[in-house]
Amino acid sequence: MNVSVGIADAASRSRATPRKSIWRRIWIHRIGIVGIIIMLAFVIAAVFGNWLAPKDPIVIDLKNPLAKPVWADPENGVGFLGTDNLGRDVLSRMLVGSQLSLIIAFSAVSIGTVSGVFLGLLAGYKGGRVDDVIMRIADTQTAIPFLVLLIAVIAFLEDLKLPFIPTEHNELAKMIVFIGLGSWVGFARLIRGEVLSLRERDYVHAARALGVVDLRIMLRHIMPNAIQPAIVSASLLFGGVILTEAALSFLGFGVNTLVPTWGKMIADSRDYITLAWHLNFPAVAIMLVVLGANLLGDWLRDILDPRLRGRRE
Amino acid sequence: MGAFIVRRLIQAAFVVVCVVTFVFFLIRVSGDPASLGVSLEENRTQEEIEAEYQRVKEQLGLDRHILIQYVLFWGRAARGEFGYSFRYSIPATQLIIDRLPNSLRLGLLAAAIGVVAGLPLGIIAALNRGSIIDNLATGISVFGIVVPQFWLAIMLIIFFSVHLGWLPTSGTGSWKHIILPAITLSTGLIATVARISRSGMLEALSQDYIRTAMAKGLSQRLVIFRHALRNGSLSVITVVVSSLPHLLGTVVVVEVVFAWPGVGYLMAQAVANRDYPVIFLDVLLFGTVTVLIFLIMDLVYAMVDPRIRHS
Repeated sequence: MNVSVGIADAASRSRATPRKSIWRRIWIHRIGIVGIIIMLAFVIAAVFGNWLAPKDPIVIDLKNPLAKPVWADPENGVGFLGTDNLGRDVLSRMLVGSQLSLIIAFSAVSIGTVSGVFLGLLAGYKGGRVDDVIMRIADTQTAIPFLVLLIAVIAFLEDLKLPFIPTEHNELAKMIVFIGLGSWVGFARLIRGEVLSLRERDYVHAARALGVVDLRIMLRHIMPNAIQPAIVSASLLFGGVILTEAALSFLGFGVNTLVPTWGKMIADSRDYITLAWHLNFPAVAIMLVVLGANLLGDWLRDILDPRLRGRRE
Repeated sequence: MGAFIVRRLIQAAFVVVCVVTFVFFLIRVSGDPASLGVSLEENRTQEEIEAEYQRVKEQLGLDRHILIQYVLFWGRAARGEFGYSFRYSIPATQLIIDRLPNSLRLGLLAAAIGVVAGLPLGIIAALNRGSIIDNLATGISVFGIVVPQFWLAIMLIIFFSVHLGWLPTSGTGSWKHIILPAITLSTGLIATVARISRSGMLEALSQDYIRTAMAKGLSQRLVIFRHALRNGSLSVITVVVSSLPHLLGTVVVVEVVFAWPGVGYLMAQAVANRDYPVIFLDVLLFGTVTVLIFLIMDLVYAMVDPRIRHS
């Protein structure tokens, strides 16, 4: 190693202001920017999918089933990503379908994060009986593999009607709630661990002595200091939910909608994949988004965790 | 140590009881199992159907209070009676026992592939840090994490079975049938093992005792296998064991794609047919296996590390 470079490097680092060093860290983990770009593209596709779609995603064109993309077959190709077995435009279906994928992933992750963080705070802060009950429920839930649990719950609660949800969205809402409630355990364990070390800090004792109510101490004083690992986890879970939804769709427990999610698109087209390679694009899209969510999660961990700062420099 | 084992055993048993209770009440809120046990042949009168319905209900004990049913259930469970499969009309226990060896074979082979392929991948990547090999290994492990497993399975079938014709598409029979399911099932594990062993190796290589060993003039191979690998192996074992429950969940998907007659495929079929006794036992089986895995892991750790059993 070149010693003089090392010294110069150390000198410039010591001069760097905190603000500067944030940008420096972001630049050092530039792979995370790829993750951000992928996730942004996904969100834009989902939000503006209806406008961006070149064709109507549900119009059937039986004259052109399984047509190749135009760039692969200039003479007989139809559409930028070809058509499916009923001649529907694959790109349009993917754009409109991404909306559903985003809604499912975002809502399920939100439910899982909020419930997990709250129960983790409660378990860690209250301790004793409350802690015991919450953690034993967590143990029970961890004991059943996630996918098995979801299949069982979806099958057993087939007739369940959620309150306040219009009938046509009931199936979708149930999927979201089940996946969301299925993922609280990881968050609760993370947060509980953090809270256990935070609750004996002086500032918490001070707040209690001043007569601040428990809920306020938990949410205002403890949570902001314990939340960072949960943010990273939420980002990683986002990819996990997309994959879980795809697996459920494949097993036949997906949500039935006019324009399906990406996972259901792959599942629906599996009989035609040997005939038309372009039907694999939804799978490519899923892999990209899961990759994006993972990169974003790793990036957030590096940016947020002070213990990792400077390690890769 | 004795006290620790007892405490941990009680805890494990308690979790299993909770799982059973959870699934029991889930089934009871899910609808009316008795209506599935009534045959609806055409030339039967309303009264006959009603009578049979009542009979089935009494037979299953569904006419009593739910808490009494719960107590009675434990009585039957203690005798190993979990009811008959609605679909196959044989005891659900028998069905599970018949299918279990297939799943065990598949799961163990997948775990073995995961370690045998993932470990060298991670070690080679760590030894050639920053090189093309390292990037390739990282690429493979990223792929293993982001790929939807059922799609990968379809691709493998298309490539190895349809195009090349080397391996059968699905089912059982010869040793060839297990290869594609096992590979598909192991992808996630290969990725995880490769990542952990890479970072474990890098950490170990930066330790003082490795430098000492190198300075003593030991060969690189000896240092890597005797010193670095041995110290990193505990974290690899942890990762393998703690990702087994996830592997159990994926088993369902993989067994369905390849029509592999194991407990996962059975589960998917039972759910489609509303075969409640089978679903119940299957979930219970998955739960018990997971609890056992974690129990064994904790006991082994406690044996290795005295700090754990005194905490």
